[in-house]
Amino acid sequence: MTTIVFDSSVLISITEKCFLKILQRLHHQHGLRFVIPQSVFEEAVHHPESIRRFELNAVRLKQAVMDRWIEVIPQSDALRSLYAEFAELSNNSFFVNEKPLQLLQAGELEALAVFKSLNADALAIDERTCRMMLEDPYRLQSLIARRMDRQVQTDSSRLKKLSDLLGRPTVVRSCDLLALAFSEKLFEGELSQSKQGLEAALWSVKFAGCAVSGIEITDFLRSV
Amino acid sequence: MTESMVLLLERVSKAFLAKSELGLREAANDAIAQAAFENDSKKAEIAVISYSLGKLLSKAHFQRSKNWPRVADSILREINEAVSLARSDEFGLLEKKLSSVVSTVAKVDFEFGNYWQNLIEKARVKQASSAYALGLSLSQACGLTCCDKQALFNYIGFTKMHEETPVLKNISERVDRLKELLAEKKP
Repeated sequence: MTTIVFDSSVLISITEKCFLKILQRLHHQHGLRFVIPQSVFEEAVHHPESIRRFELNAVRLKQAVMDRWIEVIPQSDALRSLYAEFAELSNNSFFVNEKPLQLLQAGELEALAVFKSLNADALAIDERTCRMMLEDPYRLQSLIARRMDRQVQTDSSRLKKLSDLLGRPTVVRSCDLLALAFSEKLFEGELSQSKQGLEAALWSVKFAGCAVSGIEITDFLRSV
Repeated sequence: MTESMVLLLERVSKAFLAKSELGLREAANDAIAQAAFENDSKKAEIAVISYSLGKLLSKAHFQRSKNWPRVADSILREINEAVSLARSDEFGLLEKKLSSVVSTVAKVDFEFGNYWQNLIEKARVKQASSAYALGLSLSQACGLTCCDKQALFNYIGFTKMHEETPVLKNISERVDRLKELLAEKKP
């Protein structure tokens, strides 16, 4: 069974644009196991449940958990220990003026801990920083240096440890999951199974926050 | 840290007294950048305050209110008290004072504002977005500024910042990888 660990950013994009049904079809079609850490459940369900603006998304997600096609992984000592290890490594790997930059926090760190503890197959992350740290930390270093207009140093031994711990994880975004669903004709009945339907879906998750550029979407659509 | 905190608060105070929206905006930008480098939530709160004060100054209906001079005096007094607390390294009291300024601005906004989303929430989203643009993760940017994650992510979607993010693997490559994974683990 293929296991995908979600952080809250993907769930935000997917629920915000009403694509939970399509995600559920992917789960059924392939027997995918979708899991979220306890903290992501708190962030994406418990917290927004009390905010009128976001309550609807929280209710949708809560239903998915109650229907058991999204599974919540509870906290444990083993997870806490992994969390601490990932926090130490990721938040002491980039420096400005010899001070470590605290780049990641609970949402992303718990997703990494769950990914490692379950020996999962993929991580679903829509935000940019954690994904770049896993895929190409030196490009992240350049991005931060450019944005902060400062010299950014890295601790390569810590970055190597982080990479050794996680291997080279497959990271996907909401736009990639939607593109996969489209290629398997899972839009039908929910959204037009057409190039325009796909285009609309990809742009909508981009506007919901998914870290994908307009050029990337346009290039991809040319190949469809 | 004390000196930079004092300098930031003094800039906020001077800019507010001079009714300089631009000055307040620039102080907010510097405060959030320092907050991101140093993981300092107090500086992030100064950024939120400075940005929201700039917004208050930009709203004509606030300024026209007969209560405005009294409200502005009270905000300025609180900021100057915060400067004194920062100077004397009273960081616990400074934190409370900053919260009090935030409450005052929120109250003013509630009284005169026209939107469900209040000014402080908007300021938190704006500052969190700046922190994310600088390179912090979504969770870290939200944690630093006490911003709601969903509100931030929706805001980011309408900015152009992801256009500048390097494409490490494109959609086709990621979909192909997912298909490989599914084929490997086919029941």
